[in-house]
Formats: sequence, C-alpha cells, structure tokens
Amino acid sequence: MITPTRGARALKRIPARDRSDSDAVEVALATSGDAHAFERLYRKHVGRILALTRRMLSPDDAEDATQDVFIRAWQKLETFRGESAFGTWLHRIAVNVCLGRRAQLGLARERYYPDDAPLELAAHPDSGHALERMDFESALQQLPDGARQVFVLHDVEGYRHEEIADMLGTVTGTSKSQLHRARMALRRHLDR
Amino acid sequence: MLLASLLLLSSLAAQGQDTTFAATRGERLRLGVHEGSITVSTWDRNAVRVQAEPEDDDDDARLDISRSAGVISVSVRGRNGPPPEATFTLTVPAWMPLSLNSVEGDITVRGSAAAITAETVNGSVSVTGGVGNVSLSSVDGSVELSRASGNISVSTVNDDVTVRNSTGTVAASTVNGEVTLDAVTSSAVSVESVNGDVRFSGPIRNGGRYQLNTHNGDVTVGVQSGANVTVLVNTFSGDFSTDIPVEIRTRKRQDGSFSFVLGDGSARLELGSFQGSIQLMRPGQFRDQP
Amino acid sequence: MAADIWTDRLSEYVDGELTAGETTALEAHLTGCAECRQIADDLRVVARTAAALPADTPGRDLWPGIFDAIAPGKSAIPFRQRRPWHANVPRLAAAAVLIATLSGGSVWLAMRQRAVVPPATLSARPPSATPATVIPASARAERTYDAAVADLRAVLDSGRGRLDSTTVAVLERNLAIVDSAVADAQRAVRSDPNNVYLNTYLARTMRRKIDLLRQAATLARAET
Repeated sequence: MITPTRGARALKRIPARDRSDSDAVEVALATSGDAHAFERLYRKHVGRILALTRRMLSPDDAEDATQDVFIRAWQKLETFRGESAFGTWLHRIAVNVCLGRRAQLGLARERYYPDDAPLELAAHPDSGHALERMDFESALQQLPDGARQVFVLHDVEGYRHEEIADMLGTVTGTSKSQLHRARMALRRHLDR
Repeated sequence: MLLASLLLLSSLAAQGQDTTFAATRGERLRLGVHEGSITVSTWDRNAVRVQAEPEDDDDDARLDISRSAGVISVSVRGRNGPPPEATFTLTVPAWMPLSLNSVEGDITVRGSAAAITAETVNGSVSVTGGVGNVSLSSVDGSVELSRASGNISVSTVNDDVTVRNSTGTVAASTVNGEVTLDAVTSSAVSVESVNGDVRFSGPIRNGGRYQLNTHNGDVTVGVQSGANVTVLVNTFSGDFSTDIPVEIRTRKRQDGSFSFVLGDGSARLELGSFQGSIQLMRPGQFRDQP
Repeated sequence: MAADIWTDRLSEYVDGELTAGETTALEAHLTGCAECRQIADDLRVVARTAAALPADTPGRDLWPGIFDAIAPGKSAIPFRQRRPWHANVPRLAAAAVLIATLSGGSVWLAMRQRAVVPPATLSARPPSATPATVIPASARAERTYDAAVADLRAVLDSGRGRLDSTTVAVLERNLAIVDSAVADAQRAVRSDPNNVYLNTYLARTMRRKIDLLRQAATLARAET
C-alpha cells in the first residue's frame, strides 16, 4: 500500500543521468530484493571500501572485511533512509566492520607506544636524494593501529574528530593527538 | 428481413466510376478492397460519393454498391479469381460511421465525426477525426491518428503508431516500431511495443490509469507539474532517470520495480522497459526530444 | 622549548581548529620559525596526499562470496526469512498462465491466482528448485503455452501459401522479435526465479506471442 505523501515533494532530487542518480535507483531496486541492482552498487563502491578496509586493518584482512561490509549492507538496506548518500552510509558500515574486527582481535597486534612519544616507522632516513623510500601507503600500514585508524578516518575518509572519538570510544583530544602523531610520522615519506 | 437493395452494379470501365447517392442519417458505410488504397473525406451533404479507379484494364471488374439494414456496402469484384485492384476515393457525411478494409493499400480518412474502423495488412492508416469507437490497424504499415475523440484502439505490427491531439481511452500497440502519444487527454492509456520506444505526453489526470511498456526500447513520459500520480517503474536491466524532484519510496517491495508518489498519487502510471531507459520529464522538455 | 609547544598544535592549526587567539599567536611564531613553517607545509601535504589516495582494485571478484551469503534460501540470512509471504513468489506461480486451445485454433489466456507458498517451504530449498506444490503448475503452464504456439503455427503454416510473401516475411520477422523478448524474459526468470515482476513480465510477453500468432493465423485463414 503506497502512502500518499502530502506536500512531501522535492525531498530528494535525482538529476537525470547523474552518478548519484543511479545509486538511488539501484538502492531502491536492491531494497526490494533485486540482487542484480545490489551487485551494481557493489561494483561501483567496492574499490573505495576495499581501500578503506585495507588501510584500517591490513592487506590480509581487507577482502574478507569487504565482503562482510557488503553482506552487512544488504542486511541493513531497509534501514537506509536516504538522508545521506548511499556511499556515505556504506562507508559508515565499513568503518563499523573494521572497528568490530579490531575489537575482536583485542590488543594482540597493538604495538606499545607511550602517548607522547614520536612514532618512528621502519623507514629509510629522510634524504635529499631519491633513495629507496617507503612509499606513503606502506608507511601508513606501518603506523600503529590507533594512530592509523584515526589518520585514515580523518585525513583519508574525511570524518571529524567528534565523529571519530564517538566511533572509537574516546575523546576528541585523543583523536587530535593521534592524528598529529600519524602525520608527523608520515611526513618523512612524502614524495618530493 | 430486409433485402439488399442494389444501388449500383456497374462495370468499372477503364476510366473508373464516379457516382453519388443520397444517404440517410444513421446509415453506416462499409468498404472492402483487396488491393488498392482508400481515401475518405467528408462534406456536409447527406450523400455519399464513390470514385473507383481500377488498377488494370480489367473488363470484368465490377463496382458493387448495395444497401442493407442501415449499411452501405461498397466493393469491387471480378468475374472470376481474386478481386481486382482498385483505388477508392470517397466523400461521405461527417456523421457517417465507416468500416474500411484493405489488404494491400493505404487507408486515409479526413474530417470524420463518427466511428471509424480501418484495417489494412500492407499499408498505412492515417486518420484525422473520428468520434466514438475508433479502431485502426495495420500489420506492415504505420498507423496515425489525430483529432479523435472516444474509445481509441490503434495497432500495427511492423511500424510506428502515432496518436496526436486526441481524447478518450487509448490503447496503442506495435511489435517492431515506436508508439507516440502526443497531446493526448485521457484517463486510460495503454501503450505497448516490443522493439521500439514508447512516448506519452498529455495531462496525467487525477485518478487516471496509464500503462506504457516496451521490451527493447525507451519509455519517455511527460508529467505536468502539479500532477497527482503514483508512478511504478518496472525494469530488468534498464535504467530510470528524471529531472522531476521525486522521492523514491523503498518501502514498497515488488521485485524488479519501485515506485514513488507525486502529489496525492491518485493517478497510476506504470512504466516498464525490460532493458531500455525509462525517463520522466516535464512536458516542455518532452517536446524537445528527437 | 617553545618549538615543541607549537609543533604539537600544528595539525590543529592547518585544520583550522585553533581559536582566533591561538591562531594569531601561532602565526606570530611561524613568522620567525622556519622549522615550524616547514612542518606545517609538510602536514598540509600529508593531509592532501591522504585525501587523494586512490581506491583499490580488487585482486579477485568478491561478488560471488557476497552473493552466496545474500541469495535466497540461505539460512545464514535470517533477515530474508522475515519477508512477508506474498513477496516470496515461486517461478511462474506469480503470474501462472493458463492457456487452453479451442477448436479451430483460437486460444484464450487466463491469469491464475497467485499460489500461496509459506516462507518456511521456500527457505528450506536451494534457489534453483521450486517448491513441490508449484512445479506441476509451472511446467503445465509452459506445456500448454507450447501447445498453443504449435497449434497456431500449424494454422499459419497451412495458410501461408495464401499470404503475400512480403506479409509472411513481416510476420515471421516480428514473431522472431517477440520470441527474442520471450527468451530474454525466460533467461531473466531463470536468474531470479522468485522475482514477481519478471514472472509477470514473462507471462505478458508469452501472451504477446500468442496474440501475434493468432493475428497471423487469422490473416492466413482470411486469405482463403
């Protein structure tokens, strides 16, 4: 039974032939059970989700986590209200999946660093010449989990410190200091 | 039982026949020709003029006009074998209902204000006017109708169908061709193609029911601002786009389809393309479409 | 050292998160501290580099694993089992087409009611098999459709010689067009057997075929 929407116009504009346009349609189809529409959404977003899981977790865990993300998204499709873009909603699911996995792993892989100590990554010393230099992505992987996740969430994915603190169960001050530490470690691995 | 009164049975000599006779209001005209075109126009006289021209120099061709039970029947026949080919030009009262059949040949009607049935197999049908039951069909030829009003049924198989500036219920279909309904005012529209685009522009009326479907083609519909319509989009591998602000409702679950509502949703617009594009646009944009 | 105090705030500075007063003070420091200026530049570059990091390309297609998990019938997805029963429509039961052939080659079509299939039955079976209550109906519908098509074909073939060759060519071509549409719809239903829309669409397309055949058969008979 379709509920008439009195006055509820222009809530969501779907520009013709726009990229975001097809997300809305595919989401609607997928929500009604169309797996082919969901596959199209998967193909469109898998690259960014895979990158997110790889950077948040590790290359070994990325594919498995990515599958989990899409399965979880399929299960929760009915809860997607369209208030944000589908990609944004999907990313939040991905972040939750990654954080959940980290919690499962416990602190087994956490390297201990005093809060205020600068991070030293296993990198070649900074040099004016183009020596073998760990590239940015590899350096990112070398960051300890806490700093890496904050850095990925803030600088790569664009979340604000308030959101990150909420996600990680910490406070904005910690998020800011972790971000700074990550950036300071990574500045040695910029391509110049 | 009324006996058929033979109005005319005369030789269709080389120069053809041209005869005019009186008609009484309420009478219908039926014309069947195997091969040959039919052109009908109207006048305000209560009379029928029949001009028949044979295609070949057939001494045995006969123009046959008879009247029975309110039906004026016109045909051409030969002594033996298949009916000869002849071109017919008729002028009839605008009030006179028409039933026109050809197998090989075009049918053209202008200015009728009555019911029309026009069917051909290999040929086009082009009608301006028609009131009441208007039923046009071809197999291998286009069908065009404009300025008709009533219960409209237009179909062909291997060509396009076009209905313009008409009102009433409309059922339009083809298999291998496009269907275009332009400036059609109706509360009941059914349009179907298999291999071709379908287009509809005309006010979406409150409470109306509009179905446009094709298999391999695009569906384009103009929706005026302020329309109250529930739109149901069905597709398998096609896509949907619109410039009209819509809110896709994802709560209605029908596999392969989704729906949204404009205004109070009283009309129902069902759009289906198995593998083509479905587009909804404002009527102004529609007219710019090729 | 003053430099350490300031360097710790440089990330906040480049992100615009300092208060006006703090910003003014830090910028005053930057005027005289080349090292801090360099760090600030570096931090901006790090942030920009991060924002521009590309998406990945999957080394292998992850979709099959995802599809296996979300496809109907998988008990691992309790969400799907909670769907209302009328959304779980077996193949061709949603729009089961009952075709009967009358004497003389004319046919009619009637649409059957949707078959009621409890979800428990559906989820217990793999997607490719249809529940036992529906298989006979679907198969019967397809058989009667095939019989009607054959019947009309016979009428058309017997009268074909009386039809103009152009007309025959046109009819055959358009029958092929509709056949192609039926085949598309059948493939689609096979790929998604529980899809209500696809089942309905297949039935409609089959009916289109029958209508066209009937029209052709009528033409062939009329030509006699």
